[in-house]
Amino acid sequence: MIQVALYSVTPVMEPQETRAAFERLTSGTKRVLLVGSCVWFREALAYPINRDPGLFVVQQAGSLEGLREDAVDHDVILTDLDPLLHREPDIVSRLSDCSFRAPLLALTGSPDLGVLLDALEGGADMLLSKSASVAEIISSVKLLASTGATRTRRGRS
Amino acid sequence: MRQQREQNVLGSVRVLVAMEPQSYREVIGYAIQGLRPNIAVSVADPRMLAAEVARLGPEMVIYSSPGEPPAGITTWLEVPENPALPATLYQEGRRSELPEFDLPILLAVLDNAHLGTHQVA
Repeated sequence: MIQVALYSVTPVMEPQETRAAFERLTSGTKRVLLVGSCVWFREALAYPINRDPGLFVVQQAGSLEGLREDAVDHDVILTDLDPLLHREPDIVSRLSDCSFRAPLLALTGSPDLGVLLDALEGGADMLLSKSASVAEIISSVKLLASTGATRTRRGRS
Repeated sequence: MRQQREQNVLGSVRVLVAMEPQSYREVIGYAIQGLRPNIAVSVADPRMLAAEVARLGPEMVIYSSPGEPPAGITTWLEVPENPALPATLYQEGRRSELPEFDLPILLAVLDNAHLGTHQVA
């Protein structure tokens, strides 16, 4: 009987994709910073973003810890709000407090109006339901990234 | 992405992604389609699970709610929306938990299902 190991080392990005990504990085492609503690969603979401010729995920992080000092230059932040809210309830305002000045798009499945208002008051520039399609997420990221503005966040009052 | 994406890849394992919310199933569908082009992946609203299983006859289903795998499904992967909970894999009657579930593990499960299908064939 042949047994197959379940775990294997599988490259997420093929060599030709790595080269294409590098070329896009040097040609004005908008750089996306992905923040979210749901690893599989974050990793899978990076895939269609990287396939878009106008976008590239420059960095992924599961939380703000460690990102504060190590964040690379980026044009837009895309964050998966819900799992982070469990671990870091003040995630959005903490993003605001950091040196992250790029526009921020928060994905959420929360129907709680308080959560949504907190996110907006904390500095999220756009909220998008997780019921959105990938195409809608990507077009929203591109829209925010195209503003090109580094913004001063409102912060909590 | 269309609500239901299908590839007719002769002889490949058929995977149905039926997760909530829509963005979850679509990103998984995109990633599988791009990283494992030899796998025929379909994406569907979980409320259509029974109908899509009957129509497509997938060997593997990726689902987001707790439940027992329907008859005829060789590999059933349950990925809860809450990342603090482990993913659960039912494969040929055996149940195992995947507490550190991520994209490489998903691809390994897919490869395993694909290999298993070809061994049976």
